[in-house]
Amino acid sequence: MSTREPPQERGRIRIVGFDGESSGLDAPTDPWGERDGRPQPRRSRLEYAWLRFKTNRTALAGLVIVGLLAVLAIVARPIEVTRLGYTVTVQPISIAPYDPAELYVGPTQAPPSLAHPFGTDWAGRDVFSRVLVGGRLSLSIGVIAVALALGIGVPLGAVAGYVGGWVDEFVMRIVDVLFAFPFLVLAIVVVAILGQGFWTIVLALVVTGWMSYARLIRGEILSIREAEYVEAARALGLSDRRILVRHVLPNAIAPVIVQATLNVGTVVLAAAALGFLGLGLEAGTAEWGSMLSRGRESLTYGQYHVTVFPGLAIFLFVLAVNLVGDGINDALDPQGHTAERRGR
Amino acid sequence: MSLGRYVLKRVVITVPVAVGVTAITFSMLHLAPGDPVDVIVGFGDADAETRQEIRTAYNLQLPLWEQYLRWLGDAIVLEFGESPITGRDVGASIAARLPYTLALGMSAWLLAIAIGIPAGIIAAVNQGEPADEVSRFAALAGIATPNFWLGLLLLLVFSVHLGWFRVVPPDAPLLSLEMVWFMLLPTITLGTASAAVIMRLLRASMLRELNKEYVRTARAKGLSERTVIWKHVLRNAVLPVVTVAGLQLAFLVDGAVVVEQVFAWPGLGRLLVGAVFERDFPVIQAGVLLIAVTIVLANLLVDLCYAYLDPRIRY
Amino acid sequence: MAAWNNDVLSGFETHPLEGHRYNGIFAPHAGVYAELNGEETELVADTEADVSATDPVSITGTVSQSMTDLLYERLIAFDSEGTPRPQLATDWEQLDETTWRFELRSGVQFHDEAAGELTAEDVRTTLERHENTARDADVSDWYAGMEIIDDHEIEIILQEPYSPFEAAISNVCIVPENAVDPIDGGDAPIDLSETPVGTGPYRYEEHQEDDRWRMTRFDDHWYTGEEYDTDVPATPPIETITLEVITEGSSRHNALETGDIDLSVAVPSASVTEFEAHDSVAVGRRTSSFREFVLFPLATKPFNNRKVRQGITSLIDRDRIIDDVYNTVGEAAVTPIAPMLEPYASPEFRARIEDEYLL
Repeated sequence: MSTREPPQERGRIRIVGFDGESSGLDAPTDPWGERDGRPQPRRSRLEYAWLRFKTNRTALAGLVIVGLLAVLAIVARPIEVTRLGYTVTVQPISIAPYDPAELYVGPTQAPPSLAHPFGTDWAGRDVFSRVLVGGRLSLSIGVIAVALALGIGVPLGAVAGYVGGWVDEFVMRIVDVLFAFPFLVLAIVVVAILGQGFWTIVLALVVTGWMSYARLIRGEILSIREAEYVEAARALGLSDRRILVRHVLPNAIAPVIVQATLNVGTVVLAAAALGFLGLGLEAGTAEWGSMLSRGRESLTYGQYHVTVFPGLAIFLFVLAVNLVGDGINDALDPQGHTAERRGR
Repeated sequence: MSLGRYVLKRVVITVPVAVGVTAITFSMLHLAPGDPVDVIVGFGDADAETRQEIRTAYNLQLPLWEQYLRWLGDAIVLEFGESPITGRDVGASIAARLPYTLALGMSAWLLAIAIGIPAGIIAAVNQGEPADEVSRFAALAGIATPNFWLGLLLLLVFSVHLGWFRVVPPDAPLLSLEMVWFMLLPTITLGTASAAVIMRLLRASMLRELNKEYVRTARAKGLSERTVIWKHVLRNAVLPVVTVAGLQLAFLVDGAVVVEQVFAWPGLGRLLVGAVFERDFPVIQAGVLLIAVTIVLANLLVDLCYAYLDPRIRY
Repeated sequence: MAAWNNDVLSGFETHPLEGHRYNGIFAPHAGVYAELNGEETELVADTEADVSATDPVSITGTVSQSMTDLLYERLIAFDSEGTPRPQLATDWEQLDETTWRFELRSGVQFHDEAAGELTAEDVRTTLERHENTARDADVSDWYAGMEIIDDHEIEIILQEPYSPFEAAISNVCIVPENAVDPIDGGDAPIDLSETPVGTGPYRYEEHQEDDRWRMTRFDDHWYTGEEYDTDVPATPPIETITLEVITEGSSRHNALETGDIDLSVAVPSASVTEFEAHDSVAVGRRTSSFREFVLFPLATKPFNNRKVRQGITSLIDRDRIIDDVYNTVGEAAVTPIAPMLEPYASPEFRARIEDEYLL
């Protein structure tokens, strides 16, 4: 316990060794670990992370907003699953006042009113309902694309980092090659070849997205791989796979989680951009980006409500996601160690 | 290892990457399910004669590797053939548009750095104070706003209502004052998100550095705060920003595609989007190739810069 | 439908047929011309897409058609009422069921000196170079051959009696005989895919890809002011026409509003109401031949069932579509025939069709 630790705040002298992280690699004894002078059982790092997260007000606000938007997306309209001719209503609640696809529920292009809080669009559809339901498509694209990208990037990157050698070189070269294709450019080509649609968008997002996770986790694993406890585990005879999964990965996953969270926001923006170009989902779909695309002409005519509300929805969601991502970053890694390693 | 050896190593590694990039760009047409001819025709109807014409025009009857080599050989000498839609030379079309996208991209990149770095420094130095909180929120807002939305709003407010700018590009050379003035709005639109990313990164990086030992030592030595920050902290803090600044390039290309639509800017992005709607594959392939190769080279440059600035990385 | 700043531009009219949007700038055969008020000599207009082909046999889109419309001319040109007028031919008559004789105008110059004066050879080359191009059918539907009697007199032979012949020949833009062959290539002096060369009142000046397309007045144009019974001046009042490529509808609207352009030929329909209320903006509305329609795939079930087609047709709310999608710019129709053709657009005819074919 003789490592000198930098102070948490400037100018405050702290005694080291009784709190804060020592090697940064295993769970510390910390302020919450002592009560009434007696040491409490050590908590898992996840618990500590959650405690830190909870005290971060902006991160909590972000989480609440994301949660709210997600819940709204789910309860906006009933969700039904049809299999083998039977239809089961999985989610019966419907807080959207109108069917988002129903035309002429009100006067066309009407500004916000009591009946239509967000006004109506050119076909008389209720913008409020469309924004609520639009969250489904936008959020699901975001979550699915990031999840799939994680599913590809993390294993590949982990293996590359742990095994090293030519496997590492090979995977990293593939990563380099794919990094040369910006998302929209690739998406344009994918749409030209495969046509428009939900899964085309997701495919383009996944192909351009998995690399950042692979690189991150590889970097983490490279740093951790040589650590003492890994050597110890190996000496004890644990298989490589077990070491990787149970010891190395949990420590390395932190920056990946942060990146993934932030990327959900990036992905939603990217999908919106694609919709704006007219290459996204079918015209008339209630998805925030497509709504912005269809409504941009109405900005010229002073009808702000058609674009302001979907735009605000995107803005709010991405903002909240970023707050949460920052919060997770601060919670998992308050000293910024891994971020420093990530800096390369 | 020495810088020279590192440079050599990186350059050598870049070659297969560049080759991989060309391979992927070439094979896009063939990766789709079904006959490439169908993809070109747009899965519509085409009689046997047209299909044969297309097949010969694109050399589809040759084995795949031979097609690739031919295409690559032509591409290296910048010969991309003629567009089947417009009949115009593809290389010439791209060459005409490229300067516009380059100008917009570079301006946005410089703007991002010019705003992001000072803002990051101010935020880090004034941590916890209003200046910090405000810039942090501004950065978040900048990241969260869809850039096409921002562009439309800027256009509406400054060009239409206030009349300070034209709505469409003026009839003037790219480097003229008129054109530069018009380019201001698209540059701001494009550079805002990047500036925000750079600012956040630099702030985080500087805060980490400020917590380190050597800063305390420098202060204890009696050096002025200014010297501490400028001579020592900034030098180290800026390193991760260098990497990110390079990565922003791909990000800026994406943004340019959209911003060019909003401001009618005659660049490569608009060419590509138009080509998709017209199913003009030679243009799409050539454009994507150019963009991808440029990014690979730019990343190489960034890596080399970084290696020069931070000797630790060469090991 | 077009909108323009009438403080700057006057006399402009919209043309009923697609592909002739800029005709209102100067069309002696139709009796229309526009002029700029004050000292200005350049008209700035817009186009919703860049030109994609400049050789008439390669032009398949209405945008390219309109943008090259003032550069090329035809033997016969139709005016706004649908009457055929002499353009490059001064006189024509039908000799028998399959033969037409044309007298060509003399003294007609091409924009490029290398093409010389218009002669019968130019007309023959023009017709025959259509073969195997995108516009092949324009000629091969009826063309059997041509006999050259002398430099300014020709006889066109049809494959069989063809009543739309006048309309068909008015679709063919006359180009120089020494133009590069569109299929075989070669190195003839004039390459129409690069530089359009015609006989029209304006000539090609410059093209900045995806940015602008510029045309200038052709000073050696044959029109002297006397050829038609109209008051169109011999010299087009507007010296330069610049077309800005603006793909965004709202940007076209904004550009007109701020004065960045003087004339917009592709005004979004939603802008019409606003511009009509505007003092200094004039809007030209004319029911044209442009139509939107649904084509049923007759060979595919269930569309092979007539009742299904009739049912679908009855469900389409045409009036709503015109009101909400086209912002009241348009007319409901039951046939693809333009209202200009009066006998087929009369209410009686429409009622007949509706009775017979709709539910």
